[in-house]
Parts: sequence; C-alpha cells; structure tokens
Amino acid sequence: MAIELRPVTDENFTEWRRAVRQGFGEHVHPDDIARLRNDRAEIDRLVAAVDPSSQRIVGTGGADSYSLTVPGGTTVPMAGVAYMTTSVTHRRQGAFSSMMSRIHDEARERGDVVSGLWASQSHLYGRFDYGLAIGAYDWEIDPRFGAFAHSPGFVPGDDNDSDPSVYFVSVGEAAALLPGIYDQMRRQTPGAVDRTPGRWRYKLFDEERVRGGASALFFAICEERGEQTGYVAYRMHRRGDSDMGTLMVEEQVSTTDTAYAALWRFLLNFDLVGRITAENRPADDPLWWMLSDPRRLDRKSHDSLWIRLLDVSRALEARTYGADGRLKIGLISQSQPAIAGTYVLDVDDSLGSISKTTERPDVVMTPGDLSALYLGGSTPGPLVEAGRIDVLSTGALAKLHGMFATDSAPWCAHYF
Amino acid sequence: MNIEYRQATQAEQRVLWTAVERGFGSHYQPTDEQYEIDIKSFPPESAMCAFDGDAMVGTTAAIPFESRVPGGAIIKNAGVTAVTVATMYRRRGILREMMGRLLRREREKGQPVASLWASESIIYGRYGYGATIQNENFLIDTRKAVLKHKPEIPGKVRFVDREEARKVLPAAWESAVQHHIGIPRRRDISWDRFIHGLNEANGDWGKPWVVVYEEDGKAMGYAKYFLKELRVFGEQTHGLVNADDVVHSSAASHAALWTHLLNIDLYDRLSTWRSPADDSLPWMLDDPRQLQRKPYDGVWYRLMDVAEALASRTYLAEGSLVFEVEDSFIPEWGGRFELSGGPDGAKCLATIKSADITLPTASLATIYLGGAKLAHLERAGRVEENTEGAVALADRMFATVRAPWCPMMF
Repeated sequence: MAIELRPVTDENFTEWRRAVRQGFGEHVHPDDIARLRNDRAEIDRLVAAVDPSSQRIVGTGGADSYSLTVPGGTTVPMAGVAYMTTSVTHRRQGAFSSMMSRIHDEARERGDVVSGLWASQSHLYGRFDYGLAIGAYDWEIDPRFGAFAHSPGFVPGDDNDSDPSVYFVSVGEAAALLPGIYDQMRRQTPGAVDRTPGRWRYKLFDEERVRGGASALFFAICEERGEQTGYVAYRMHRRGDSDMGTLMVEEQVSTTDTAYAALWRFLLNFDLVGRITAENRPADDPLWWMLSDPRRLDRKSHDSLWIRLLDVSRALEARTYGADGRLKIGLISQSQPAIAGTYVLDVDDSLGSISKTTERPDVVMTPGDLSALYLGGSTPGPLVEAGRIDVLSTGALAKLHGMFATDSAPWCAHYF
Repeated sequence: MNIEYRQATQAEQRVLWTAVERGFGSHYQPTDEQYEIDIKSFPPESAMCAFDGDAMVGTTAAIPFESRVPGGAIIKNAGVTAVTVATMYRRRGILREMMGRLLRREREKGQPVASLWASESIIYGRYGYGATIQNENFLIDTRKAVLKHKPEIPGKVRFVDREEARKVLPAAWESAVQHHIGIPRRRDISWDRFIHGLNEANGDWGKPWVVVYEEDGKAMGYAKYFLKELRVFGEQTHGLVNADDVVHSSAASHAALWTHLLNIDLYDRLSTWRSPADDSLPWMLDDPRQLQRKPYDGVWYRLMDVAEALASRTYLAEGSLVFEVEDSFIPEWGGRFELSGGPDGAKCLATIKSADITLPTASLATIYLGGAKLAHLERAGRVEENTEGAVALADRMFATVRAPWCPMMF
C-alpha cells in the first residue's frame, strides 16, 4: 500500500520526534521533545510519512525557515531541510522522494528562494538537484606549536587602547552577548544563516548528557574599542590535573580580523592543553597563513552546506558577481523540467539580471552544479574536468569563473 | 669561527651527497649506478656550501628548471634543493648566508624566480618564500568509490615496463607541463633517476607499477603506484595502493587513470600525496565524503626579479596596480612596481607612483600562480591595502581557472 504523507500536529509530534531520532540511531530524551517543539521546530513545515496499514510514522522530514546571506551581503529566504529519515522497515517505497517533493513545493509556495541542508551522507542529495556549495575543515593543533609569524592590524603584547582584549564570561552573559556578535558576522558572511532566540536556546543547551564526557561550555568574548567583536565557546576534556588535555572549540566567531587573531592567540596560549580541536572551520580561515609553522595545523576537509536553487532567477539576481559581462547558462534537469532552459546572466557593475533565451548556451550544467557554484565556494574548472559542466563557447569557462568568484569563501557556522 | 662559503668541487661530489643525505637522516651508500645518476642530478658547481676548514657543514643547490606560468609562457625557475646544515652548526646564520648567496647567484643567471619543497614549513618564510602551490593528500576505500560523473574517455590505459616508460613518459609529462600551471619540465637526468627508481623496491612496498594513458598513440598521462598486501591467517584481507604520481593533461586522461586506480582487484585502500588542490575527483564520486582529503603545502616560490616574474604571466581581468614590495632578506630586490595586465599580456616596471598595495615579497610569491587570494592573506595581516578595492582587483587579476600544481618532488 502506498505511503501517505501527513502533516505533523501536536497530536503526533512526539511520535514524529521519536521516529526522527530513531532514524539517526538514538533514543530520545523526553525533555528533548519539548525543547525541539518550543525552541526550534516550525510545526507547519514538518511532514510525516505514514504506513496506512499500521498507521505508524515510517518517514520524517521538514524544514526550518532561515535567512541565508549570499555574496554581496543580501539575504534570501532559505528552507533549511532537516529531520530527514526513512524507517529501515520501509526502504525503497518512495517515502523519501515524496517527502522531499512536498517540502520543496511548500518552500516554493512560501517564497523560499533556495533550500539548504547538511547531509548525513554525501551521496543522498545530488539526485534532488542539490550541489555542494560550502566546503569546510576540521582542525587539530598542538598549541605548543601555535606561535604566530603574522597577525593583522595590531602588535600583540603592545599596550594600546584600541587593541582587542579577551575576557571570560558566564553562560548567562554569553546568552546575552553572543547573539549580537553572531548576527553581525552572519550578515557579512556569505553562506551564513540567522539564529533566532529559540535556536540560541537550543544551541546553548548544555546538560551533562550532551557534553560527551567533556566539561560544560566555557565562553570568552573579544572586545575592541568598547565593542564586542568576537567570541569563542569551548569545552575541556582532561583526565586528571596533570593530563595534557584537549580543548574542543565548539564555536569561534568574529566580526573583525583583529578579533579573530586575538581569539586564536588566546586559544593557543592555554597551558595544560596538548591538543585543540575545531570543527567546521571556513575554507579560507586565515590561521594557516598566520602561524610560524603552518604545517602543524592539521586540516581535514569535509562537506558543509548543500544548496538547491528553488527559484533560479531570484537566486541569481540576489547575489553580486566578480566580473561584468554576459553569460548564457543552460540548465538541464530531468527532475525539475520546469526550471530547465537557458538563462542569460547579465552582470553590470557587479549586479546580475536574468532573462531566458532560446539561443545556444555558453555553458551547460545541472541545477545542482549551478547550486555548487552559487555561493562562490567551488570553482567551475574541476566540474568541467569531471564531465559535469559542458563549455560550448570559447572563453566561457574563464568568464564563468570570474563572474562567480567571491572575495571570501562561504561559511555556514550554524549546523542544523 | 670562520665559515667559508663556496660551490663544491668535482672532488667533493661524494662528500656533498653524503652531507645532504645525512642532513635528511640517511646514510649515503649508493650502488655505482645510483652514484652516477646522483652526481649528474646536480653538478657540484650548482651547489652553495658552507665549510668549516675542510669539513662541509652546510649544503644547498639549485637546479635550472623551466616551468609554465598563467598565460602559457615558460619561465626560468631555480629549483632549490639539498638544503641542510650539520646538527652541530645550528643557529650560526649558516643557512641564511648560504641562501642569500645561492639566490643572488641564481638571479644573476637570469632566473626571475626560485622554488622549493620545504622539509618543514617554519623555515623558508623568513627568506621571502611563500607557499604558492598547495597540494592535497587523498585516502579512499576504493570499494566505496563509485565514479558517477565522467567525461568521455576516447583513449586507453596500458601497463609499461621500464624501457617502454622511458620512451613514452616524457611525452606524457610534457603534455602535463603544457596543460597545468607550475610543472617543471623534466630533464634527461631526471628521467634516468625516475627509470632507475622503477627497479628499486620501496621498502616492503615492492617495485612500482606504471600505466600510461594514450589517445591515438599519443601519451597524455601516466600513473605510478606501489602495492602492498595485508595478510591475516595467510589470506589477503586488504591491499594498499600508494599512488606516487597521477599525472594527467586532460579531463579524459585524469578520469582514465583514476578509473584504473580505483579498480585494482584485491587492493582497496588508495592513498595519494601531491594531488592537485582542486582535483576533480571529489566531483566525480557518487559519495564524495568517502574521499578523505588533507591539504598540504607543496611548492614555495621566491620572487627574485619581481618585474620580470609579474610581466611573464597574463591576468584573468584587466587592471593596473602599484605594489610596494618589501624584501627584508634581499632589500634591493624589493621596491615599487607598477603592473598593468590582462588576458593578453602584461607590463611591469619600477615606478615612483604611490602604492595601492604594500606587501612582503613572500605574499606576492604566494599569489603569483593563482593558488591563493590576497584577500585571504590580508586577513592574516600579510598585506596592506592603501587604495580601497586594490586587493579585490588584484584577486580578480591574479585568479586562474585552475589551481597551480606540481606533481614532481625535487
């Protein structure tokens, strides 16, 4: 019997939440059901796949409403797709695809320009026209090798009123101060999304069961000229007083280069720490270029945000471009015939306008590949080499590269 | 203490190799054949050494390379190698002195840039080198590596033995030189060394295998790899593939060589080092997360003649910029330079105009081949922008469609 899609309501929310956690291989704590309901979930954006014979939920999905910053600093509404599971008992019956279609259709009706997600597995979403738009790195460094050869704007150790200062704050102060700093960062960072007060409560939830054996969160703030310009939240993991422990950076955010340098100098100054770990660092994070011995910074790449363009024209017109000119982009899509066709991107003074044409395109790709280029996190050359983008006119690759290039790499600090 | 600096003599060739190998922690005990190849690899007059009396206590050398810059020009490039200082002579400024003398001598030979692979990343920034070519190390379980996207592959891959390799690999290399930015041309002696190495077991990895990719009889790429089997209770459970070289010159040769490497029966853990920073393999895989990637600094460049180096390449966007280049190691090589360039060519001349950008010579070397952005270095405090928008313009100009790459260690 065909799987049915149903809305999630207060009546079936608990069952839906249990199904989500079960899909990710976890039991759910009763408090977490209320926490998700109150602080994060938008219940009218959730969907349940139900087996009509048993009336049980066998698939889950949904979206959170985000505001995504695109190159140039404009924001576009984004459906942040999450909670995607299909019960192991009901594989290959179309539940996942039909939930994705429902979520995308509803997002488009709401006016979302793109959808985005963090993939649990990286082979899942290419078929739904998602492209890997942001790459990030996981770091590890022994702070004893953390000397700087370069740092921006100030001479460390010099006493100067405008120099950044770093101080510890309590969790209560952090809850008051961090959101303002984060919001400033996300407005100036392509790929970043907003955090509502509920998302902050969700993020700062720090009961023992979520600490993984490490300490509760510590917080430090960076201040310059009376303004808070950065913060770091971290945990310590140490076995006994003389163990060279691990400092786990939970999140480090800054709005100026000098605050960035001050916070990393702070982190690399810790005694009794043999290892600092930080996940999801931006692709163009400057620390490597600041260290005297940069190879001591161990970096592993991983995929961060995947993007799908829901409204191609609005998405492309929202961002700015690195070069002026005209490029005809052919999109081919079997899953979305409605958005297939050739789009003319006219860039004048870095602003883009879009029209459709029946002329021969300069480059041809899938919507997923265009999504991968959208935030400037991937360059088109490797996609051409991989056989994903076809270049039909001379010079079109250089043009595509120059237009979509951005000053800084995109970064999504918020995991969802 | 009186340290003397000079090139080595013919009579000191074995002493030179012994000192170099010892500096990297190896005893020098070559076979006769190996010794013949070694002493031809760099002649004693290419070295710049330090002597305490008769004792050779420091070594450096430079090999005359030719490598391609954006736009296609081939420039001369001093390949710096064999840099060692004997342990008991540390912290006396010996490397500084050798490096200064070596660089000055190499520039006098008309070479606008020098380059090297750093044994440690802490050393060469202070002599004006910047990390110009980044590489990546790959690790993948080939059983989980499905190539979902592939360009058309009109040619074929075949195994070659040593003799065949000597015949066909130089053409494959030269086509890679012409396709990428940053690959030095390979001299005959370098091929002799390469071919000799094919007969040598690499520890318990055995001798390497070589496959070549050809289209219409033309060699377009090759891979060289080592295999090692892992046995439990006498049965092969896994095998390791260590791909030293995956040298390609087109989308098809890249895809064909990767298809080969990912399909070797019984050997399912594949690693590479010095893969390109923007290799397209992740974009070919159905499940890109199966490919573990670690970036690694590859080749460091040192600008010796800023004007000639910048004028040799072309630029992706048209523009004019004045750079104030600070060279604290060899101050007379710094100065103020006006660059005017675009896709068709460039001029670069000393100027007295005011500078749009002030930066140490290492930062300019870092962006020289398009492998890094100036905006990125600016955030690390390695660049000062004096004219608003100048850093963004520099990045648009210096950008290249593909990252530079150097698959050859020297």
